[in-house]
Amino acid sequence: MKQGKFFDSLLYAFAQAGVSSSIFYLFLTLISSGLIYIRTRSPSMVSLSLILLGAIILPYVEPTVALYFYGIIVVGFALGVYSLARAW
Amino acid sequence: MRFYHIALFLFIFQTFGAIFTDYAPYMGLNATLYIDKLTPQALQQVEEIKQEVAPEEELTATDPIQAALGWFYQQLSNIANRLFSATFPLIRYVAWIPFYLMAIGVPSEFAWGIFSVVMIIQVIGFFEFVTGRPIEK
Repeated sequence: MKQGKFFDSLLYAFAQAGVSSSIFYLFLTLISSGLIYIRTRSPSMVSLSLILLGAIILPYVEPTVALYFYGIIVVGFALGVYSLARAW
Repeated sequence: MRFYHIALFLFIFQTFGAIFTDYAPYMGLNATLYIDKLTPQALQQVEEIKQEVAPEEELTATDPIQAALGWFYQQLSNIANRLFSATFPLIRYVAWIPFYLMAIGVPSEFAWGIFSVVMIIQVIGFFEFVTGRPIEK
């Protein structure tokens, strides 16, 4: 498989439905965090994934959608601190 | 103590969100929260309502005792207003959630509704934290 073709094939369905690629990345972030939670059952891993994915994708999306990623990073950070507080 | 744990999460979320809001540009995050500012039209509307409720020409007292009482009352209300308005910069640390929701397109009534629920949960959670007694039975 050529580089980028996998995501292009995923994006194609969204583009056909009239959804922008930024919204697709938003879904991707949330779905991946959900899958990480199902696999690990650990809020700390979810918070790490939300912070990292949000921070990686944030500079590449338009400013209106960047606000959603900003919210995702804040939720991830708060979740991490909360899980630490619960453990402590 | 369910409310306490929800309130603890909300408090952490609120506090760290506000810190993020302050430091986001320095961390290379280009997303900004747009906080509504009072427009000149809104200020004019406030002035019109003030004139309608208490016109300035009717505020002059003829009785000296009444005038002195009015003067003292004015000083007290000025002090109270000054103290109250000094807390306004803190609003973005406490109430950034509704502004954020408005920035991503949530209607303002709904955003403030969500925030009021958040605040009620925080108050109940704080009550549980202080008394150590679960009240959601």
